[in-house]
Amino acid sequence: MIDESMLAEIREANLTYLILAQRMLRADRAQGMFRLGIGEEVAGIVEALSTAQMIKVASTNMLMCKLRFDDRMVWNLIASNDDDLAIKKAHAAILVARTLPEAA
Amino acid sequence: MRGKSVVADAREVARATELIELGMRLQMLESETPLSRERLTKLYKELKGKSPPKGMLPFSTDWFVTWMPNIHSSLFMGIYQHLIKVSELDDIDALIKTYRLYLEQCSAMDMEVVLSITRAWRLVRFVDAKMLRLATCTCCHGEFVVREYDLTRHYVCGLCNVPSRAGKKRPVAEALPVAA
Repeated sequence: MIDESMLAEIREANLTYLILAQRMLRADRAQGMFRLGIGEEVAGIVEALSTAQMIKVASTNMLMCKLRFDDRMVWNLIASNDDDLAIKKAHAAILVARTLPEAA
Repeated sequence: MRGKSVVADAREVARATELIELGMRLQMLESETPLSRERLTKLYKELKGKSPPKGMLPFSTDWFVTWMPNIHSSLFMGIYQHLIKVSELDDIDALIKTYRLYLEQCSAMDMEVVLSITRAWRLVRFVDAKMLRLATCTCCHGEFVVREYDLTRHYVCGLCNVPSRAGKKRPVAEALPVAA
């Protein structure tokens, strides 16, 4: 059972995420889409949301951002603490750059 | 475009300015913008405070498949293709945006910037011209830059299978390509 404070935190995280996403898209759409890992359609919707809409959308009991990497390889690379971490991170970045949003 | 539109001209100058600031060579600017050579030279001098470097551009495809440059090139190409796929950008804008993301990535990883914008531009051109292409590593499924005729059915990238002397370079001497 999830308590009330956690629900509040979810709402807050949702709202922060949406606001950030919108700002990124408005600053530079293509780069924003790359960073967020979303497609054209979703980008258009998020970009057009009004503040009132964002608050409404954010108030659910579900978190709107999800863990992006479902690839074990990527997790192993970014979570490792070797001496050549930079190379591991570069490897992870190459793998991540390749993953396209499902609904492109 | 050629019809002397002042707005279009201003846009071209702004774009050229951005490219010069990123370190692009004059020869490339000439092929990427409709501005005249004199204007570009003037712009270059004004921005950098010195004459543009002369001499040939790097032209070897081999540089891109050596170990460290390959990591950077593959990263760059990955971002580039992602941007091209998700949005409609013209080539040069995509190049600029990708390069900025790449620089950001390098500083986030505390890595030296290996790929200059000149190299990045060559890389995109080489891929367009089918002299280089991307191959999928059979181990990590990442995409890496390889030469067109490299055999890649059982390709394993330089990161999954790190060569024994990889990264142990003498600072500059080995990082520079031997012009072939």
